[in-house]
Amino acid sequence: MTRKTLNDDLPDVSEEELKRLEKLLNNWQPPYPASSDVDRTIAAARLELQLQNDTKPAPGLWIARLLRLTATELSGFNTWYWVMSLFLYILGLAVLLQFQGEPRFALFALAPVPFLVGLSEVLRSRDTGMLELEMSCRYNGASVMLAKLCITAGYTILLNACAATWFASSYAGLGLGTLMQAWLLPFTLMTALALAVVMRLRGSNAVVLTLSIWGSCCVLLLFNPGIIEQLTSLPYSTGLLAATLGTGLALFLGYRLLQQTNTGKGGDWLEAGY
Amino acid sequence: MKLVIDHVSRSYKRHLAIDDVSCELTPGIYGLIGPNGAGKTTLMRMLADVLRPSSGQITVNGTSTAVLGERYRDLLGYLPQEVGFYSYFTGERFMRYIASLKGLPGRESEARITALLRLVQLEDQRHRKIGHYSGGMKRRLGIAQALLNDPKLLILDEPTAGLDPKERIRLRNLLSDISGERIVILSTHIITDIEFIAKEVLILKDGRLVRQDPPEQILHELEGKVWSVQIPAHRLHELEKQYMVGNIQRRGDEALARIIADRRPEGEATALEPRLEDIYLYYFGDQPERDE
Repeated sequence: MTRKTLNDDLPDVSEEELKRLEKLLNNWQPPYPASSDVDRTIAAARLELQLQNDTKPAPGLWIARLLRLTATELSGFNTWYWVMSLFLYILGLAVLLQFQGEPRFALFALAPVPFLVGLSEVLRSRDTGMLELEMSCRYNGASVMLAKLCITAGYTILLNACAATWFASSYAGLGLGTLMQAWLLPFTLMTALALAVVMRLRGSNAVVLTLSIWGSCCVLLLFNPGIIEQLTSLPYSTGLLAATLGTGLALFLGYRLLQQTNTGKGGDWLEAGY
Repeated sequence: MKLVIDHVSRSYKRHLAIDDVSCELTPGIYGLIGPNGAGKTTLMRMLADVLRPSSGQITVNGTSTAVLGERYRDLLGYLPQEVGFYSYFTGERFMRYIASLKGLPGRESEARITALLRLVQLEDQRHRKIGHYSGGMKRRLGIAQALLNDPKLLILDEPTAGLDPKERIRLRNLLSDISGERIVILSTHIITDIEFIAKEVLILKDGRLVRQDPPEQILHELEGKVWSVQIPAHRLHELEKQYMVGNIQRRGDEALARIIADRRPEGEATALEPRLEDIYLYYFGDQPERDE
């Protein structure tokens, strides 16, 4: 602003008054807001940033998140599950080898058992009413259920793989591929059946029902050694195809179960009185 | 923060549990009241992202919670009406588990867990299994977990159920202290829980939101409608047919009844100052649960 302009705009302002005004403005401090107001503004800005930060995790990060959640859920499993399922599995192997003597059938019969027993752990939160709380957390109910399914399925696969490896090294003439095939088919099919059942029944009822169905099948097979022979010595291609179908079915039903648990489609279980 | 419930409805098969509810919530405590079956829990579940509305939407600062997903849940602290605890968990293990599910870093959560357990007076019980906790202790643990992530939106579905009067007062004071910049929604049957702390009262009836106003305003409207009537005890039945009757005190052959009526009732009637629990009677024609 030039003197001329100022004089034009404010003809009555004297030089002295102008100097006083300049001094006044030089000494003027803008009033600062109270610290509580500053805090409130920061909190509001932080909240807004949090709400606007719509970054989808990369696939690698998604897997890392699932693994972290799996580790959390692992700590939530009842110790009795690990002990009992391992005990039942080893006892079952010992009994079947003693009385039936065929390692492939022992593997076949016990393959789905740890998973079926583990369903009570997977569905514990739904049955006890804890799932409602879990669903309101960052990792929602479907993620929690997925992590638990991964733990139970992983544990079952580990037990079966260990038993198959041990049999392959202990029994001459039994290839690892044959043994793997022996447990893969019943494991995938029974997993699919169990997942279909748990969508309609409480966890404990589903465990009893699926174990009863599988137990009955095994007893029937024990009286029909011919069928055992056929089932445990299927050609690789047929066995692989059947196991792939079983896996596909299990994945599909698992997806349905997660959808049922998720807020989008479901929440129906909240009213279903499981 | 502004939470908007925008024409939200929720139905279960043919039953409409929430019918076109709309309201706007800003930081402060909101008391949600209504009789059983009014839809309180359904509304709370939708706010907690446990249920999705059949129609309408819930938004935070203009963005739908369905879009926000876990960003919304990060702001949430939720205490369901009934929490099914794992009985084999200790109090501390449960808090750690929920902290992990809320995505809290380990070190941060440890300090917070200790502080919250102290706040709800469970610090000395932290290593005890939840299966051995009393109902009140479980409720307090549920309240502690809801506060783990320092939530901006706190949803408490009947938090005082199972708490003794002393614990209930402590919870009220706690909520009053922490409400500051957060939205606290509290559903209850016990009107005294919200009488002195609620910024606004939301009245839900048959799935519809019939009122959303500050308690003082609602009470103001009831002025001149609450009466104390003294009548012979044998005439109580008559009175109940004519008016909405609240508390009844029997004194020998006489009875003193608190009633809601638009005009001074016949007989010996004295005008009373309205209380928040009279709202219950006024809107629902029934008595609320009393503070034990």
